[in-house]
Amino acid sequence: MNLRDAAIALLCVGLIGVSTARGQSPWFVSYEKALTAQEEGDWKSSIQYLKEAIAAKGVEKLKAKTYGLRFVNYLPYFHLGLAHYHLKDKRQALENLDVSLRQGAIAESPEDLERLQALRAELSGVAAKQPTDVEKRPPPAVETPGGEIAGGLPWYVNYETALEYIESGDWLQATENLKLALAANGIPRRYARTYGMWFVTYIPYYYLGVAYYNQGLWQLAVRYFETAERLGEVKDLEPESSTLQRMLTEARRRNVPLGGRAVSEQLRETLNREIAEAVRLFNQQSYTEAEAKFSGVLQLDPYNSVAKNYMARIARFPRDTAGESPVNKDFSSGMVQLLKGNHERAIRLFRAAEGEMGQDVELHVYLGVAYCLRYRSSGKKDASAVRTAREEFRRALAIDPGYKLDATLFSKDVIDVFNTVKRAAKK
Amino acid sequence: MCTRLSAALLVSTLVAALVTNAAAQTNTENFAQFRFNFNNPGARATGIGGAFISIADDATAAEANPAGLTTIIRPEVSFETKGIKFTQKVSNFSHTGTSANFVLVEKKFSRSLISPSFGSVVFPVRRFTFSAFRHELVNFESAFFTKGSFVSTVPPTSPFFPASYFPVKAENTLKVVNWGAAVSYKVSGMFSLGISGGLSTISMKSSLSRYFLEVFTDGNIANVATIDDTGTDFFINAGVIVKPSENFAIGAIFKRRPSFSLTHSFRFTDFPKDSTRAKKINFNVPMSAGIGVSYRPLDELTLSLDGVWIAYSQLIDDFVLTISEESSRPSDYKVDDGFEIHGGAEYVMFLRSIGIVLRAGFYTEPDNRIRWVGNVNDTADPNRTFARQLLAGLFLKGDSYIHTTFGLGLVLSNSFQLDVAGNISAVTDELVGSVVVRF
Repeated sequence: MNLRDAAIALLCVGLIGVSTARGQSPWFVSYEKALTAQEEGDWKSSIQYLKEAIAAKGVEKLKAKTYGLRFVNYLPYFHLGLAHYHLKDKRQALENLDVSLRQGAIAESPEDLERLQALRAELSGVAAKQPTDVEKRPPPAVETPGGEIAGGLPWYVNYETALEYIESGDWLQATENLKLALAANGIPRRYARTYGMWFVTYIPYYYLGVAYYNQGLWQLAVRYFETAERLGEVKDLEPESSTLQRMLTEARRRNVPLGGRAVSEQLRETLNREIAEAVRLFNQQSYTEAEAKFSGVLQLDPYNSVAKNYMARIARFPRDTAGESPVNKDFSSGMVQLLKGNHERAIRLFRAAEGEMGQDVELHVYLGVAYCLRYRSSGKKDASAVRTAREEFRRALAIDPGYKLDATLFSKDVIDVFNTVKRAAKK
Repeated sequence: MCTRLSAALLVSTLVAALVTNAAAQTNTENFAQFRFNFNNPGARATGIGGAFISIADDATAAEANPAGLTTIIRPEVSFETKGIKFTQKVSNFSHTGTSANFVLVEKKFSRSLISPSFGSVVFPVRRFTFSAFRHELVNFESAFFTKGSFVSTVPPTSPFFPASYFPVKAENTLKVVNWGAAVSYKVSGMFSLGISGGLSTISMKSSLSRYFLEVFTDGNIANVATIDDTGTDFFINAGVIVKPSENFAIGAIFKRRPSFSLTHSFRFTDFPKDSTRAKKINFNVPMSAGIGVSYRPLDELTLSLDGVWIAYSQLIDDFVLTISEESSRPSDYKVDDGFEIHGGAEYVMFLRSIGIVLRAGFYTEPDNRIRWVGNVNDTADPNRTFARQLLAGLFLKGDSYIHTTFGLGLVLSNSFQLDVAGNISAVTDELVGSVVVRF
């Protein structure tokens, strides 16, 4: 073989490879994405994924083999009908449901058949006998996994980053990264290849469940745990399997729909509002009401440090000492101002509390937070504010080196400053 | 007797051994034995036939294709040790029969060495990845002797027939080491660039002594060709990797390799008197360029194919005649550029949480021996014709080889990988062991 022949041969191999690589995803990848989208109420995206799946595999089948030894009930026309039903496209919905019926596979799945018949009955103008599971579902709550890879990063970069955030307890960041990973790779695997010879146990639905659980988003936690269960993500894995069962049970018990798509921001606002109100009640010495309010906060966010601390102080405080406060009043008022975003007032109140409280870890932490907010409001020009913030965080960490800033209460830039100081303190 | 002596004197400046795989920068025959090792470092790459240009996704990428470094998301170090057995076929070791009807006897000589052949550290920083590495580009040793055979290329009609070679004894060591740094940049999710470069050092000790009789004592030495020198130069590798999808990649690499200036000494002990002359020669390590494709139909299976062009013709750039200078010209010698094909596959399975990786591959090694292309009869001078006949017989076209490779890898945890690989061919056997540690 001379140089020219070899070059031509290589070029041919390359072109064949490129054309293969540009082809569609396997049908089960598209189908899995479609089901996930439907679970989250993103009917439009699910239609696109289902069409991709049908283009690759047009016949419905129960227990269709996907990869490895995984099987799925492949009913794309039924799900297309379902999507069009929710998008109020009656004609398309009926057409697709009829295709599913004609192909016959769905007849072997009584539950799906029942749902299909209920939908057809409603679309045909005949009142449905029972509301379907689908109709019982709450409105969509999260953005659909699927689409572009954010920042051009492969799935494993986001996944490994998410695992690091989980380890550090930063559930919000973990959620964001897990969603990005899931958007790029929707197939969980026990040994998923990353790069080189490195493999990782890829169980994004489970970890999303864990992340949402720890943010108190019970409904989302339930959804992702159920998806993890359905896919058998952690079937043979311990302690993940038992953790899933425990958290799923607890999440189902506490399931309180929050609704809306921008869940993280909404939760943060809700928590801030609720805590501010609870602290206000606390400052009014309405401890019973405050306790109830903080308890509500802990239902939304079981790890909320502010609520936990106040609850602990209330519990320690003898109720018969009427007229006294278990927390410095200036500090409590400062907390309210801080949570309302009035950082300058908060600083003044915290400084006023310093004389009485002395070396208090929370006082230093929230002073640091307030100075961070001052720094931000100055357009990041007030360098002395961020220096003071760092100094306050250093003082807090000198008292309690393991202190964690609550990720659900404060924005990323505040947490970043805190974590930087913490890392430096560790060194 | 006079004829025999003349022939012997001429032949004394020629070769004793017909060896395989030339890598000469002069027409001194022991130079023609040096072997380059252009295979990509790491037992993983070796196991799949060196087809690593488009894969290059571990710490060995600094040499294989620096663009691949962008794949790495956590710091890594790698280390490789290699055991090599060189087999050298001397085709005119001796002869049997009479001068009118002789048969050449060949003999094989082997030499083995073990050496830490590659080491690297890799640090990813956002879209950039940095690496520092040490790579033994060439590590070669050989030693052989001959008993002095008749020269088969001199025809019976020649007034010099039968001419005979002097017995020789030769020993060579050559090491070229690259000390480099690499940087790569991820332009987009599917496109990465990388460049590496640094300092190359050479250490060469080579001596070939010709004897009047098959008694290897100093008093019998007719002449000695020697190189005992060191040198430095720079090298640069530049590569690119395109990944249209997560399971398909195309890579390309260009390697500008070093060129060294060395001193070659030639000592005559008896004719016309004991004297030594020295010449400066260039030792060029040929540059190369390659393109590769890899495809991963399953997470567990990777297929890879590379094509590599090697500019072996650079071996005779600045070609220096150290023997028979009056009888031949540099243009009488030629080496063709080579095109190597590397291919391999890698399959991973799991035993509990331990990844067990099986690898197999091959690569072709084209003839890269300097050959005579001049016209032996372009002169009326019988002595010159005789010398050119000898050179023509000496610098024959060589053979091409196919290397078979295989390997086993163990991924013992998500941060420790151990690999071994074998590389078998008619001229070289290698056993390679490497580790990759991720932090």
